[in-house]
Amino acid sequence: MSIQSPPILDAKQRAWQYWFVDGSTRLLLGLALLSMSICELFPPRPRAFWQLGLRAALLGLYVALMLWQRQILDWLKSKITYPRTGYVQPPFDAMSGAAGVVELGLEGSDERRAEAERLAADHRKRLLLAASLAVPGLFAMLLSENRFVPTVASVLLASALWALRKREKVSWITIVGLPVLGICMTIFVTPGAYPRYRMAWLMAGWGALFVLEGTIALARYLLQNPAAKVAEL
Amino acid sequence: MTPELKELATLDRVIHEPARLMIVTVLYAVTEADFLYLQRECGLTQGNLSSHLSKLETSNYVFIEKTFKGKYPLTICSLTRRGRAAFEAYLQKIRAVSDVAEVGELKPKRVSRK
Repeated sequence: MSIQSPPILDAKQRAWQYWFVDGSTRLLLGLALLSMSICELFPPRPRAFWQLGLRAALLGLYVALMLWQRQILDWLKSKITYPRTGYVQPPFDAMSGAAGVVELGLEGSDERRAEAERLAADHRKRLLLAASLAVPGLFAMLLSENRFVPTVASVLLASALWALRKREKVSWITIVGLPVLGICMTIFVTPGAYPRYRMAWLMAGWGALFVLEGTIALARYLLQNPAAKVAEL
Repeated sequence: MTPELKELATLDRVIHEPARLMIVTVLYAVTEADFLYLQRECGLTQGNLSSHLSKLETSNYVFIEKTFKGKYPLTICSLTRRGRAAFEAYLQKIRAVSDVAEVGELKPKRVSRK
């Protein structure tokens, strides 16, 4: 039996948000998006070996970030976060560990059980809403050559992130920045560009926004939590 | 006296202490956390947290393991099976009492001053 009362739910929520507090998650995701899209946007010229090398390095960075994201994050957090504000089990591990647990309320605590069910239903609804907004936007970017598609797609993506902002701690930088990026793409990117090429621009912009968001979060975290003495039992 | 009120006398005193209740609540929610995280979440001093954790460990409610994440040493605490069961039983008892109070059986009767 697993009990879901407001203080326990609050502790779970805080532990979930703790994963994003230092900005490293966003920073790595942004770097992955940037490296992938730069490879797509700037194919190397023949015999330009430095460009070939740069592309290989970016591809390597992307592959490394995709394959060993968790290990890289763990390493970063063991250097930055754990010595400053402590370690708590990452939310993804906690979720997989609790997968088999039946979530029940206390006997007779109908209000609390209803509250827990309401929160879970709200989260599911938000995930569904985000997916229903993001997927059409991304498909439109891939399939349509209409010049206004980037604006519409970026607004849809920003709305999807807005729907998830509370739980995933998405910053306003990305939520506001994405539509601005879409409008800029509508104005500046050649209308006849291949949809895939436009997708790369969108991904590059999105990656840059994530890098900016992650960097600001990291800087703020480091300022608020200067290296402290190690507290041990 | 209601049987629910009598149940109060059998509350688990190890968990009932406010600081330990906070620690157990956090550990129940997160599965495992290190000393520093618990200290920040519960707002306890190092010595205070250390002594409460020792009591919980003595009662076999908390398992404490010293390990490393990279080069950084961690004191990871987690609730044992026994600790989880004790916390759930504790909450059920408290809940039973609060249910009775909501119904009104424990409310003091008004005495007329006439």
